[in-house]
Amino acid sequence: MIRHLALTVAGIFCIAGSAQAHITLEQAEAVSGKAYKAVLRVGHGCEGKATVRIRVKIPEGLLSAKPMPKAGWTLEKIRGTYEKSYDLYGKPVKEGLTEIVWQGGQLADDEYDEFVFRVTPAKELPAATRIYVPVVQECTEGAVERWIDIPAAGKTSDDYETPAPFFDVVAQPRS
Amino acid sequence: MARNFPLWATFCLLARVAGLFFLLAAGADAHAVLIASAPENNDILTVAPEKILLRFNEAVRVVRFSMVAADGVAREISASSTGAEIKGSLPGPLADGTVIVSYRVVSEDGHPVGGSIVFHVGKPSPRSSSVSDIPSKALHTAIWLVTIGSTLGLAIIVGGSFFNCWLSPAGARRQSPALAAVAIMLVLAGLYLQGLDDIGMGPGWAELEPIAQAFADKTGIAQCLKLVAIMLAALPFAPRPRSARLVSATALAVASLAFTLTGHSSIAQPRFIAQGSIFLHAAISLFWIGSLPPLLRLSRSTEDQRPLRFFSRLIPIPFVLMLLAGLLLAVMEIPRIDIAWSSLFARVLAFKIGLVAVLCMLALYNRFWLTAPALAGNPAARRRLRWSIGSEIGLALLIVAAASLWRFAGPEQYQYAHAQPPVSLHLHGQKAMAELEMTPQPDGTADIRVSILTLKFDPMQPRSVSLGLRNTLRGIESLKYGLTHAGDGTWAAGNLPLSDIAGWSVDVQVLIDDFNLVHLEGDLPTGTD
Ligand SMILES: [Cu+2]
Repeated sequence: MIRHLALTVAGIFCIAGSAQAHITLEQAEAVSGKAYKAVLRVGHGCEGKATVRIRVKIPEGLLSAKPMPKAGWTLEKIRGTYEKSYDLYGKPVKEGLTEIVWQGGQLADDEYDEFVFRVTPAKELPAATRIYVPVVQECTEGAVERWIDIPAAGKTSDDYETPAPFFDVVAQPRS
Repeated sequence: MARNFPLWATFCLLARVAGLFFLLAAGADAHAVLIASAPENNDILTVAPEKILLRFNEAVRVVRFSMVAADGVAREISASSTGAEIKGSLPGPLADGTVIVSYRVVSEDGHPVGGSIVFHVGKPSPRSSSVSDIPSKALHTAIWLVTIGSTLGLAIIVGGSFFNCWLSPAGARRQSPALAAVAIMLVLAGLYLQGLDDIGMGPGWAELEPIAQAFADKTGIAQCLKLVAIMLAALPFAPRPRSARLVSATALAVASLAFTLTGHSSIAQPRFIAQGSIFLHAAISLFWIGSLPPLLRLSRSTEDQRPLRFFSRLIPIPFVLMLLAGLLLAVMEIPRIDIAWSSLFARVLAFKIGLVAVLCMLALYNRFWLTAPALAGNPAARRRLRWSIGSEIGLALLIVAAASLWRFAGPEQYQYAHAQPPVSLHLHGQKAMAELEMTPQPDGTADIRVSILTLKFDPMQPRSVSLGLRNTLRGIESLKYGLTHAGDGTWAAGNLPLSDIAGWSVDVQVLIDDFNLVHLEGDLPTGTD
């Protein structure tokens, strides 16, 4: 009985695992120390099921994150302390949003939507850093897609089924 | 596979470029997702499906559609797609066992995606249900005994009739009708029991299904030929000696033909040499065994002793031919058994060779030391000759018994006799490591058990662990299994379609928390043998 159940669970996983509709970021580049408007594009649900929750992890080095409210969705902002203190416009910052959650809405599998927030990449980040923004997409019937794969050395996001959305931080142009 | 590689690589590159253009232009990155399939993944089906259906969330174009059936051979599947649905006709008939269907499709964004569906045809794995997949010992013993009996009966009737007609000047001595009736019953019983074995039942009554099953392959025809041979030899078809000789030779030929149709030697290559050797080997063996009872009778009585002299003069030539044919068969068979000297096949072969060696010594002793004095009327030599022929009968029984074991010891039985040893693998990542142990099961699947450890070798409690499997060697696209947390802290899954470990790479995906996933990747070590 337990074995059968396990098989069924394995079966469900197997179909889910094969291929995905990626969640990506619209702007591929951000300028170090300047506000970046992150637009998460959600083009599909999970295995054909409607999306009901989007959770975004704000990675270390992205400061003063602010989500854009969205009609039909409620926002949850989780604050936390950074691993270290960063300099933002001359002032040290050590805490801010570490996770943003949009929930309560319903985005059908055959519909497209965007989820927007703003962050400032810290000037301390080395130039040409690729920042990965892990996103967990939750759907009806408990289905979950985790867009959290960060490529190992020698690999690219294309090598993964569920890559985390990413953008590159470039140095401020001198004027 | 390798042959298609440059084409495939070019396609991949083109697809990447196309994908990049799409990314820049439209910004949409919508890959196709498999929503449903029939058969579903991990289905256990009693009847092999003829078609497979895949449903995606959007329209797709098929790039590659292939399958690896239980026999391990990869085949293409012809597919027809209507928008988001792909229908494939499975090349049939599918043998029982695990089937892996792999697909690679391109969706509207031009990005190929691939995946696999695994299903099992036939009996579910022995441990997942109460149905036993282990062959019935009682049935096999019954088949063995019946085969020994019917082969000996066939030899005594057909070979004996040949001896009587050709060597005995007294002419055709009829075979006992009671013996013929027993032999016919044994042949029929053998037919039914082998049919029962084919449909996977134990000893019992299953109406006419076993007979139909026996006629689905050549077993039925072979048994019918044996019946025909027994009847030709035992019934008074030809009263005159000349025609009786012809009939007895025909009976011997028909009986020998029956042996060329079954058994794994009959499919060794080159086929006509193999079958010719079996024919010769069977015909001479039947004649030799069939001659023993009349020879014993002759050596006891004061009848005309000429048959004994004929036999003694004649037998070395066919006997050497029989040995040569047998040797040729053994040599042809050996490359197909993976030099598995510990296998049942090899043990039976060694045993049989030993018996034949003893038999040869006995025959030489008979021919060169006993026959002449016995014919001259030396009582001690006659006694020894009787003793020697009696021993030959005993040896014949043992040789037939050993040869009848071969049905259960073909090269394919090797896999069952020797399950592959478990394979273990250590996978090392930046945040975690895994100890993986894969245990092949007799039914062609494998069980897996994974322990997740921290880099300091402490046990780790991840949120979930899943296993990705891929076999580029055999063109199998990624398969993903969710592992279940076993009581002892390890993560496990069963029924993995890994009848052969070679070429598989694993990707153990450890979800540490909501946003942290670790991939531990590696290749399964290929078996030691
Ligand atoms: Cu390690």
